[in-house]
Amino acid sequence: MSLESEIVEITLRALSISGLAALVAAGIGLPIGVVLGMYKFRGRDAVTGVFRALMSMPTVALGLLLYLAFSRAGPLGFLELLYTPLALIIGQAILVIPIMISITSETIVSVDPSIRELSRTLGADERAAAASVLRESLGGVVLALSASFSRAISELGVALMLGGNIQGLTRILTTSIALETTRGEIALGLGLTVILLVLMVVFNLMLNQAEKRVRWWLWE
Amino acid sequence: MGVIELRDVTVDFDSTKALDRINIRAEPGEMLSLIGPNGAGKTTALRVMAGLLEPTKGEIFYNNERLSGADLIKLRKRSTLVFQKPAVFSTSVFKNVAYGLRVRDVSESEIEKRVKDALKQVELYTLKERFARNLSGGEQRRLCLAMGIVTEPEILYLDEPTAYLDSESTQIVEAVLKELNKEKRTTIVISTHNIMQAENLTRRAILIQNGTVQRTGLTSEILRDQLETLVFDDTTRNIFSGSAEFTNGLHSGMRLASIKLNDDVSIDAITDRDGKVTVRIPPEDIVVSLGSVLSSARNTLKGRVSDISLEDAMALLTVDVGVNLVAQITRSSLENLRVALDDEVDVTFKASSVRVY
Repeated sequence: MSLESEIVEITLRALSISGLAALVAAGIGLPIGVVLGMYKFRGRDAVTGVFRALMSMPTVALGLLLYLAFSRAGPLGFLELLYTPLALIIGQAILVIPIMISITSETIVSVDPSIRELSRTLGADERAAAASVLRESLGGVVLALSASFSRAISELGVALMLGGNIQGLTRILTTSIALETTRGEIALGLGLTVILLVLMVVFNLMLNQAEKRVRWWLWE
Repeated sequence: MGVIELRDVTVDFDSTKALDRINIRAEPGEMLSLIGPNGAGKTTALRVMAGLLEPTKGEIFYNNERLSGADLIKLRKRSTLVFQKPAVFSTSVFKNVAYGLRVRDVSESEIEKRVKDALKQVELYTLKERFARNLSGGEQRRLCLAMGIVTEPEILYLDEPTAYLDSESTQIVEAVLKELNKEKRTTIVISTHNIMQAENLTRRAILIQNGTVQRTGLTSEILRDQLETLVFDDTTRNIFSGSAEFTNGLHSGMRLASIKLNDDVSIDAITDRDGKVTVRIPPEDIVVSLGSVLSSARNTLKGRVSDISLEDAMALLTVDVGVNLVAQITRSSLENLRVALDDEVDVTFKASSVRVY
């Protein structure tokens, strides 16, 4: 396989693994973030605090914990996920779920309380009023998605520990950069870094455009 | 037209009593004002009446039907509260106004028509595609009014409808309210600490202080009896105590009196009252000139300019004529007059401009 096609393959793999991880995180984290942001209940501050703390979880620490869980002797060893792309998706999703939850809930909490009141006084029932608050939170939800994807695609610890950087299977951009640098292939490492940065910038620009369209559509 | 009534309503916020056993009734098609200082409980009363806040104790009646808990949505479907602080959704002006109709499942063609009418009423139709949050403060307030009236509520509540508004927006808002009340017989309840607005807009008023109703009655009577204690901010100017004496004169068939404000200053006013009175001279009714001008106005006083302050497109001149009179003129008039501090000027106003309480 030529170097160019290998780089393309690694890039596509990184995109699909981190993209899926961010989607899984959104599927789990968004509803939890909405509940934490919308409803007051006993212990909410404690739960919010835990998720905030987990946002800064060191990737190697998470990688190690998941490695122990997925290894043959571990409690989830029977799933035989270690060193597979699925393990990477699960690991990255777990890494970014707290980001998704924290940013979503914080955004909802900080929506002007008068938006809910405004909806209610204009005749909306509680459900429609809550939907108005969610619409106003769209910017924060997009930010949470952006931060989650960016964190997933740029992390190294989980990818190395759970994926093992296996060529053609679990090698992604960050593990390749680390590998090429240790091999002394600095130019190649730098090239891969540029690809990674461009991907992140392009993804966020696309997300911004999508936000405008979605915002317009939501108010139709 | 709708009738709203609060009976013995109490609202507690933690340990604070925001309202204490208040009774308020707005009759069908009337314009009622809740007057009182900031923090008196006016906004809380409006929120209860609009079905946004369930009282701790007491009863709410709407068209003589008792409502509570889940029924309050009925109240919200038939009445709307326009908040003091403008709240708008982050979308276009048009879609903001359409919101109340969409939650009522009104057809798109009807929405188009009614939104257009509402925006034209508040003079915002040309801005219908603009992002609502990019409008100026005054325009946002007018937008909120359009959002409130587009659903054609039976009762419209407004919390300090013109606070911090420029004079142009104030005039538009007041005109819309008067028209709505006259043409559609919408019951309108406003809360205001601007007693002059209460006098201008409403026949009946309820004075609220410290969460309790202090007095209910004709706005003019409340102002007559308690004007000086009802001045809650410095936007109310030119209020003086004086002594009225009948002058044997008639002005346009009305009784003319001379009112002595102090040993040096007396003014003419149309009133049938004698003895101790309180007067107000609206700043916008006072003409300022350099040197005397020939006019039909009965009051011309000489004085020196003691203060000049600028507010948006307007200027406020304080003239010491023995009492400090504030005159409101446009900035361009101020520039044309070329008047400066300590200049001697004449102030002129009609006897009919003087409000006597």
